[in-house]
Amino acid sequence: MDIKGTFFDGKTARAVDVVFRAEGGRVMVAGEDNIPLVHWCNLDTCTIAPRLGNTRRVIRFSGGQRFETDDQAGMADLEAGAGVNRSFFLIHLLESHWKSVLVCFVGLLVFAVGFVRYGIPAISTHIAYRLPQGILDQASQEAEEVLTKRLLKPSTLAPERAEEIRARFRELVREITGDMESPYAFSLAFGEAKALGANAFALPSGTIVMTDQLVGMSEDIREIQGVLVHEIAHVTHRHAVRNILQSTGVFVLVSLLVGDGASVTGLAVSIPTLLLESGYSRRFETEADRRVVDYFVKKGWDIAAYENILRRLTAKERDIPGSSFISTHPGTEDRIENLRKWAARQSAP
Amino acid sequence: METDLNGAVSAPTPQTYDVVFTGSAREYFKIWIVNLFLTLVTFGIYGAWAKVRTRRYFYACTSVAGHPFDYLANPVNILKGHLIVGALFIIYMVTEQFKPEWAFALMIVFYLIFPFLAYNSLKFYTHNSAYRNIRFRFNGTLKQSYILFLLKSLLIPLTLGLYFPFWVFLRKKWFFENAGFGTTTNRFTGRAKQFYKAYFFASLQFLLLAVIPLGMIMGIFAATNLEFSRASLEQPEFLKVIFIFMAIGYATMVLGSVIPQQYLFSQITNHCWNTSNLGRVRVNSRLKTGRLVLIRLTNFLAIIFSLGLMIPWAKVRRTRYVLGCLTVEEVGGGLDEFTAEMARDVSAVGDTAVDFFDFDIGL
Repeated sequence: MDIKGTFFDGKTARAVDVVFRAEGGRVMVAGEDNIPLVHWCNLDTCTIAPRLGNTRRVIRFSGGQRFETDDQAGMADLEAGAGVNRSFFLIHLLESHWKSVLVCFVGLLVFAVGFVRYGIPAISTHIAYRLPQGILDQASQEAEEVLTKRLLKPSTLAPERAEEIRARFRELVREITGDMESPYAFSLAFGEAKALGANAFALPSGTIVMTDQLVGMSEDIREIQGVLVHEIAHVTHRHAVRNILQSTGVFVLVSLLVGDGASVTGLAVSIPTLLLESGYSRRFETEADRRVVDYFVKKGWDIAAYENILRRLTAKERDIPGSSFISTHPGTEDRIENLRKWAARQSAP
Repeated sequence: METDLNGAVSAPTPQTYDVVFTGSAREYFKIWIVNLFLTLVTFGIYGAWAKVRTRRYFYACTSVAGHPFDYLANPVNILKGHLIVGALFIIYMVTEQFKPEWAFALMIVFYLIFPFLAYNSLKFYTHNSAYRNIRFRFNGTLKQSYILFLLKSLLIPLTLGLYFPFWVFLRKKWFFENAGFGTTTNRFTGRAKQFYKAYFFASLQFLLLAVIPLGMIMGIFAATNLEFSRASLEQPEFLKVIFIFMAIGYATMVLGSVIPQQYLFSQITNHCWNTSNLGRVRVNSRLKTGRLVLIRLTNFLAIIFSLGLMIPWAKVRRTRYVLGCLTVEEVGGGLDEFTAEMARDVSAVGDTAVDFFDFDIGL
C-alpha cells in the first residue's frame, strides 16, 4: 500500500515529495524516480504519531527522518493493519464525535461533583484522624498567638463567673470525651475583643476561646453550654484540620480543571474555590450543631436555649438574601429548623 | 543566488510568508473536554498526555510556507515533571499550614532551585519544538540562569524596582540570543531603552486608568458612606449602592490592568521579534495593543458567562490573532537551508534531567 506525502531527511529543512510504501510489516520511502530515501525496514522501528483532529499525520523513522501526509484514510488503514496506536485511536474517536464529547462532559461533571462531595471530604477525614496531636498543636500555636496577643484584650469578666463557666466546661469535656484518654489538651480562655464581637473559636489543640461579649449576651448557662458543646465538637471532629486539607484538595482539583486556561483570569479559579470551600465550612457547622442536639437530648435539656443564643449571635449579621451561598455558616433559620428536626427525631425514636 | 535569463547574478528577492493558524474552536473544544474528563478520572495522570495533545494540536495547526510545527515531547517525561512539581506543591501547602516557621526556609529552597527549573524547562520546551523535522534549541547555560534569576533579580528590590525593566530585557535577551534552530543561532539586537519606554508608558497607563480612578471611586464611596451610615443597614438601596460601587471598582481594576498588560506584551513582543534574525530568516511582529485588549476583555466576559465552557474558544481566538501578526521573511532559500546539528542534541536520550520539567515560566 502506498501513501503520498512529504519527506524530511532530518539533516536539512528541505522538503521532498515522496511515496511511503508498506508491505506486510515492512516499510520504505521512495523519492523521485523511485530512489529509496529510507530503505525497507520493519514498521515497528518507526513511530507513528497518534491521530489528533484533522492535523497532518507524521511517521518518524529510527534514523531521524520524517514522513508527513494529509491522507487520513491511508494512515488509518496502515495503523489498523499493523495494530498500532489502538488506545490513541479510541481517544481520537472520543474527540471526534459530539455524542461522545457530551458523554465525557456529563462524566466530567458527575466525577467532579462526586469528588467534591464525597472524595475530598473522605480523604481529608482519613488523613485528619491520622495526624499526630503534635502537628495539631503546632498548627494551633500560631493562631493562638495571633488571637491572644493581637486580637484579644484581657478579659474583664468577674472571676467567679469565669470559674463557673470553666467548671461547666470541664464537666462537658469529661462527659463528651468519656473516660478515655483524650489526646486534646482542652482549655477555655476568655478575652475582650471589639473586632470579633460576640464569638467563640476552637483551635485544633483543644483550646477554646470565648469573648466576653458572648458571655454577656447569654441569658442562661444552658446557652453557653450549647456553644461550648458546638466548639468541643469542632475539636473532636478535627474540623479545622479537615478544612485545611479539603481546601488543598479543592485547589488541586480546580487547578487541574481550569489550569490550562487559568492565565485568562484568576477569577476562574478563585470563585469556584471560594464557593466549594464555604460549602465545606457550612457542613462542619451543621455537624457541630448536630452534636449539640445529641448532647441536649441525652441530658433532657430544651434545645430552645441553644436556638436563642444562635438567634442573638446572628441577629446583627442580618442575612442578605442569597448570601448563604458564599457564607461559611448556614443561614440562622436553616440552622434552627435543623435543630428542631433532629431534636424531634431523637426524642421520639 | 538566482541567475536570470541573461546570466547575470541578481540580488536574491526576499520572500514573505504569513504564519497561518488553522486551529478551530470546535475541534479544540472536543479535545479539551476529553482531556479534562480523562485527566480527572485518572486522578491527574492523563494530564501529561493531555498537555502533549493540546500542544501538538496548537503546533500542528500553525504553519509557515505550508509546513506545520510539531511538538515532540514524550508524555512520560512530562508526567515525571508533574509528579515532582506536585510533590513540591503539597510539601509547601502542608508546611505552610502546620509548620509555618519552616515555610520561609522552603521558600528559600524553591528560590534556589528555580533557576535550575527555568533552565531545564526552557531547554525541554525548545528541544521538543520542531519545524520541518529540525528541532529548535536553547544554548544558554545553567550558570547564566543562576546569574540572571538568583543574583541579578536581587537588584530589583534594591533599586526599588527601577532595575526591573532592565532585568526583563536581560531575561528576553538571554532567551533570544540563545535560541536556535538546527545549527543556526538567533541574533538579537534589542535595546534596553525600548523596555524602559514600554514600562514607563505602562506605569503611566496604570496610574491614569487604575490608581487614580480607584482612588476617586473610593473617595466618593467614603463621602456617600458618611450619609448612609446613619441610615439603617436594613435598606436594600444601601446594599444596591454598595454593589454598584463594587462593580464599578472591579470593572476599573480589570480595565486598568488589562490595558497596560497588553500594551507591555505587544511592545515587548514586537521589539524582540523585530530585532532578531535567524540566519537569513527574519520574523516580523505587528501586534496591536487595542486589538489585544479587545480580545482579552471579550474573552474574559465569554469565559465568565459560559462558566468556563468558552475557554477553548478564547484560547484559539487569541492564538489566531497573535500568530496572525507574525510574518516570516526569508532571503534566498533561507528556509530550505537550515541544517540540523548532528553532533549534539540529536535526541533527548542521555540527558534525562532536560526532559523532566515543562513549565510555562513566561519567557
